[in-house]
Amino acid sequence: MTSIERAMDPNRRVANQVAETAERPPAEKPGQGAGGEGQTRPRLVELDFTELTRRGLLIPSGNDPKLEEEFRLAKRPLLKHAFPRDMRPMPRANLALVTSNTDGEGKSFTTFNLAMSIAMEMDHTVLVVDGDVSRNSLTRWLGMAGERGLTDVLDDPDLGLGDVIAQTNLDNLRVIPSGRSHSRATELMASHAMEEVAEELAGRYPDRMVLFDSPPLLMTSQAAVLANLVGQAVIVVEAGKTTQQAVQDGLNLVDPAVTKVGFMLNKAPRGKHSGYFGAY
Amino acid sequence: MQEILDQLLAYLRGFWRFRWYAMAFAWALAIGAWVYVAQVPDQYQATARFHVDTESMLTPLLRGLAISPDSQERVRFMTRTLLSRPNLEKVARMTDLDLQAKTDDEMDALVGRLKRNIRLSGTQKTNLYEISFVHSDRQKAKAVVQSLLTLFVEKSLGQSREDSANAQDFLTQKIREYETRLDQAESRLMEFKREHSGEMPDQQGDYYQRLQKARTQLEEARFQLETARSRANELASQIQGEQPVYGMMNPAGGGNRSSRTRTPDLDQRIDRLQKQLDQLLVKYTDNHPEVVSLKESLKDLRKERDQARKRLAEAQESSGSGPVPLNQNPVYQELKAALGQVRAEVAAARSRVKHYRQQVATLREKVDTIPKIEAKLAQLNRDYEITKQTYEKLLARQQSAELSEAADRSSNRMKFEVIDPPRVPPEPVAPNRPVLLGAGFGVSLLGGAALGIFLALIWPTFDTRRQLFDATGIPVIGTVTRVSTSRLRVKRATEMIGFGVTGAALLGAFAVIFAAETELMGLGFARLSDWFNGIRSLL
Repeated sequence: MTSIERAMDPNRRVANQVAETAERPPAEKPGQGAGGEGQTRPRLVELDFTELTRRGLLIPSGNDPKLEEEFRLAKRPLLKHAFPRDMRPMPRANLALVTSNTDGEGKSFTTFNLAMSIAMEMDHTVLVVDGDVSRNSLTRWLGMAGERGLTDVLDDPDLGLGDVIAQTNLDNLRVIPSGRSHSRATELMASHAMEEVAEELAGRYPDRMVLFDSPPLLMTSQAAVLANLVGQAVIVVEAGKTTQQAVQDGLNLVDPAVTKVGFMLNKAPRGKHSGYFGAY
Repeated sequence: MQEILDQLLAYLRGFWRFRWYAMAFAWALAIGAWVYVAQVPDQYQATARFHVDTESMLTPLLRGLAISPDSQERVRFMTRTLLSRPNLEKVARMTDLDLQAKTDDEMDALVGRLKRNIRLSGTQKTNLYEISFVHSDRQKAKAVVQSLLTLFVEKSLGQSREDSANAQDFLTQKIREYETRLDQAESRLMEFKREHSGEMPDQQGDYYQRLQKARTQLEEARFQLETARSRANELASQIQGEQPVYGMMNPAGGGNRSSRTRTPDLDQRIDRLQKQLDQLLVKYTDNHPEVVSLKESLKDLRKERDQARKRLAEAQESSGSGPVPLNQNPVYQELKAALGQVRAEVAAARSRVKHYRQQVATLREKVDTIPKIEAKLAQLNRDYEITKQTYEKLLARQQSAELSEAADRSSNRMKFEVIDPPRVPPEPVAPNRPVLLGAGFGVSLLGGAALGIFLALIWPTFDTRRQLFDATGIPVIGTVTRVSTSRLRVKRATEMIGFGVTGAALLGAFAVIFAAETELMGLGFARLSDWFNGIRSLL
């Protein structure tokens, strides 16, 4: 099936997964014989909206119109670059990494909210991958700590992506948790297996947006490695906290030829313009 | 205006980022200030006033002279006399201050410190002096002033040789001064006399006479010049033939001009005699012998002339060459020669006039300056005389002072009198602790704020997407304003309260210490500075 037909028929999404088995792309690992996304019945994750609201995260029922509006604006450039109308997309443009320079600036927050915002849209599906294996905030927020996830896929040649991907109570939103904690997480992330995962994720559903959460750029090398495996990167900068020097240092680690970089200014002070949004 | 506000806001935000560093720094500065203010020792000032007849030492020496030292000199004189090194050493011994000085150097330092800290001031008109001394120990301060006064009294009662020696020195110095001035005046006078010799009063009469003589000579020379000139003109015109010679008219009418003046000499003589005759006839009759003789001479001359004319006419006819050419005419030649002579006379006269005129001018100039020179000379003389007189008087006084010194020793003249005995106010005169504390407070606040802003400037962050974009050139896909969950709000509130409490504590500490130091509200507990002073006195 061509991507156009798929796009015209959103209801076919569930059916697609089953039908995909017949069209396994040659890049799939041979060991994944029984793998592929559609083979195993995907798990279902119940999103605890109360808990999410408590954390200030977005939920579909619109708890914070201002925040919703801000993310609605922010996802546009992401989607535009990932799914351009009038030309071919850049390689792996539908893979986006969300990172920051130091800790605590709001990467997981941004990742989740971006994913939620895109998921509430009609046209696209979102897959969120928690790439921050040491501080897996996203995984914990979703209550999936300890479950099989990314590290397991990377480590175990017998496991495929389909084994760890999880559905949520939102149709458009899928999740891959970080996986069990691993002593050699850094090496795993830098391995060839990760590259293959990225390639698979990019190619499997070209109209699916994949968002990766990641560790800080300046604190480990994982983030930089990951950044160069994906097509887009969103660097979260905390207003009034991230020093200008750190921002520059972070930028130096990402190759602009490979990855399109954009900033997200988080925790900005209430300025002249911020008061308007949300009240309309 | 908006930019200024934005900039201020940015600074404030920056400071807020580093507020805890700023607070810590402010506290550190505050503690430093408190320790400093507490440990500065109090200084007390002892003062006393006394009256001394300065002139009693100087006046007898300088009475009648035009010199009187001004008040500055007097105070300096007093300071030198009363605060001399032997005096100060005595004071140090009397007050036991010298117990701290064990070596000579330390003693020197001690004496130096005493000299610096003892202030002597006096007014211009009266002889009232005030002496003050500042020290951290009240008793010591008072003791020093008291010892000084004692010393002065002792000295005044017995006029010690040192004091009058000082006055003597003063006199000797003045004498030396005047000696120099006298020498200078003398040499100036000599110089002047030498420069203008010949114009001195005793030689002056010459000039006036010479001026007169020169004037007369000038007049004479002028007159000579005039006459010579008119003669030359006459001769010249005769030669030219413009003036007809009397009696040479050719009966034929017109004719050669030269024929008229063929016998100019004779004509002249005849004219002259005729004139004389006319003059005489005014006074006398024809019978006068002079008139008669003149008439005779006249007749003779006329006859002579006719003969001469006849001869000339014959000579002219015989030669047939017309009138005799001018340059062979003997009369003409004579005239020419005469003209030449006269012209020479004119030149000579002219140069004489010039010469005399110059002489007159020079003499007149000299004569004009004579009064000025006289005046200058008089002034120099006067200067010299006065200086000499004063000098001689000073010498005399010096002599008499040495004599009177012995005589004066017996008199019990009280020249020194204490007006206000030494007193030390219980309040210290320094340091001004409240002010220092206030300054410390200001320094602490400013220092904290400065550190905050400074840190913000060297580690800048981003506050707006514009800043971020401008700095990196990378697009900012979105801005998320600060989300405040209740948990976050609580956290922030706690932290703000903490900061506020720390700040209030700082203020409170300052207030308490300020009140304690100034003994406001009678708080009862001892001042920090008292503790420090106590500790120091124990050491």
